Amino acid sequence: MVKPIAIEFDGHTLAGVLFDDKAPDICNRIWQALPLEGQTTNTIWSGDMLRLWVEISEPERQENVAGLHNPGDILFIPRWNGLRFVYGQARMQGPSGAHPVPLVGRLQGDLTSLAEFGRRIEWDGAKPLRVMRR
Amino acid sequence: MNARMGGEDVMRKVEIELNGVKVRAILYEERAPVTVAALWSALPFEDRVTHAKWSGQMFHTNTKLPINIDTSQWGLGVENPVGFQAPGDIVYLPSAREIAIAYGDARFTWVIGPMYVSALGRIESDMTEFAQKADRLQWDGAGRFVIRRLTEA
Repeated sequence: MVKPIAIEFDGHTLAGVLFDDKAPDICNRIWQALPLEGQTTNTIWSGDMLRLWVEISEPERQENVAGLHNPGDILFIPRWNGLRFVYGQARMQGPSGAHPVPLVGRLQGDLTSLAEFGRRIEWDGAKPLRVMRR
Repeated sequence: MNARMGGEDVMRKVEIELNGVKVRAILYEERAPVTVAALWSALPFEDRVTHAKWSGQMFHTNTKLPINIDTSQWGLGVENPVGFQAPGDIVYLPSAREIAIAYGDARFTWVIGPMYVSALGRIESDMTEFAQKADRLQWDGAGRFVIRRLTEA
């Protein structure tokens, strides 16, 4: 079953999909939690990556783990919760270095508005973002 | 070797202000004499700082400092190079002419990975409130930063 989603921020809407075939348990947890809305900040170790501060139930295991990320990737990090949206050059990292994390979906289309959103958050502070079923 | 004033050794000290919170810091004149002297001559310096996106608990300036130094004299391209930072460390990246200050777990990093930077000094006063202000940068956005002389060289 395809799980189509959309995100809304600053008057923009981007479509995306959850990879329920590759990460069925995590995607189902996200799907059940939608719509999700919270504040969004930039990550502090991982580059051009946004963190949406929302609660999603913890999966029992990791799925579809990826070590390299592309713009548009949607990531979920067990034990750190929330969702991550990649909008440029990024790699999930922490004080101990890079760590692969579940790739749970991808945003589609032109990501220019998301990249601008990320840059504005850096200067203007956290902003709200909403994830919903499409 | 400290700067001399009135026949006494006077360490170059600076005051750093972040969104109204002030701390005192010393500069490493002996370990980074060229860069510290250049920075000293550029003070006071005011800018809007933003939180790091690659380096952890660290923030950095965004306007190029008015510092022109020949970095070819140092093998790694920076004077007094360091690859790790502790809370309170003040570092400088000549290629970007930017200052960065660590307030917690941090390592100066860019898209290519960790980078050598020049260790210029460290905050010597209690930085609890300063660190709280620095941490808020990721939530509140850019903040006002000033670095000014506390002693005269």
